[in-house]
Amino acid sequence: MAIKNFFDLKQVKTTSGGVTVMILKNLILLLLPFALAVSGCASKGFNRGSLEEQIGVQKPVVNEKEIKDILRKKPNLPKPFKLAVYFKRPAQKGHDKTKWRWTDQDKDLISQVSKELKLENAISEAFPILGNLVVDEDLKSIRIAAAKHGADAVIIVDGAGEMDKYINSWGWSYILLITTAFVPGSESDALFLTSASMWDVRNEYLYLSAEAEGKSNETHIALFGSRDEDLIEKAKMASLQNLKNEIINMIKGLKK
Amino acid sequence: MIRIFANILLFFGFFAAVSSKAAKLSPVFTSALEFGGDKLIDVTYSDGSKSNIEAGRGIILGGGVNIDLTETKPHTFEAQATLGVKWTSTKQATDGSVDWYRFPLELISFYRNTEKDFRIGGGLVYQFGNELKGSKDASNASAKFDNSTGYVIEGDYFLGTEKNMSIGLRYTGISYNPRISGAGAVNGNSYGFNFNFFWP
Repeated sequence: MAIKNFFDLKQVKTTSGGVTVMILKNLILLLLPFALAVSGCASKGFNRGSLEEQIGVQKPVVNEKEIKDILRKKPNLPKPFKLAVYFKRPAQKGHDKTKWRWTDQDKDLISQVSKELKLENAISEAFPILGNLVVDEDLKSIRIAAAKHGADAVIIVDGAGEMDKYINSWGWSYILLITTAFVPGSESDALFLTSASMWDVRNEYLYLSAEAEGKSNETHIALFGSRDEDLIEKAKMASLQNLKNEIINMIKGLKK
Repeated sequence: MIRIFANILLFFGFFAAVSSKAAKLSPVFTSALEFGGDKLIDVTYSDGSKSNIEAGRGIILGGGVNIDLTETKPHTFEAQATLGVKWTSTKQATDGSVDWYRFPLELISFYRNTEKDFRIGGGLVYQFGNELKGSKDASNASAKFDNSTGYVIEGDYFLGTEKNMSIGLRYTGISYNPRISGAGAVNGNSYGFNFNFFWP
């Protein structure tokens, strides 16, 4: 066996001026396709279709018989009436599952609605329906639970939230890694949609339906910033406030 | 140099720990096949056949972590730290063979496009334990090399329904200094392709 090693093979020395120079030389090669591949840094936007699907906004059923059946139903609320409120459990469908839940603060909405509408003498009382009393969350099950509470009407509140996280112009500096610790190049937007529909417990007459949305935004350093849950919570609060006002105005309208 | 790498990793570990956001961290398995560089050794066997080792050639197997630092879409930035072994050898013969070992520690910063399922990045590689090991009649080919620092450029395309696998191309720029007086640096620049698997 004959062996010639690198010493015998008279290697030519590398001509590079060190690692730093090599990196700088090749950084241009690295950044060129990178710059071409990306143009702008706008957000990808919210998927409102998916959110609306989650809060139960459905395409209308075009069926003559069903339309006739619905039109036959008549409002028969006593004045003032007893109102039950049911918060549907978060569905959290879709690709981006954003964790959220109804809090006690959200359910405080009931007492606020109750207070305002009692002053108007529109309702005699408002109370929540606990989630464990409703097995399936379809309308029939919720009406049964409301009937057990002695309610005349029930409001079903649903919600869905989504995060949209993207980088601003400063965000491109994150390729340097170290900048993720101090450059505010990240943007987090939260959108929360809420819907409410008020049904007659006795005959399933739909008195009102309302929708509202709330948003929150934060520009932050990549490694810091608020948790998604906190931003969703802010958006949810804003959305519920808007929904509350919508509901109160609509119920006042019913009274007339 | 290993201290610098350790400090960089500690730096990100620290920020990941104190960060109010939970950075998405995935264990990663890396593999690559690379070619190129100067000839380190040329062996002529007793039957007349030949075999050689290029300084940049080798199969890399390694593992580490991949951190999604921004969790933004569609443009996101990742840091990947891996430790592996890079190995190649001459043809195995009854009278001996030569193996070429390196242990690459890599820290790469990636830009990733989640819509177009690709990422491109560059970073540093620190290779230690660089050693030619000859056996039997080839034992006189054994030689040690200083630890070296180089750079890596890598581009990957993501596959699979979970996008947790990638294939790509990479280039490593590095040179090795033998621990033999009078011997010049050996060019170990290499190019090749790689496969990564990310635990979801």
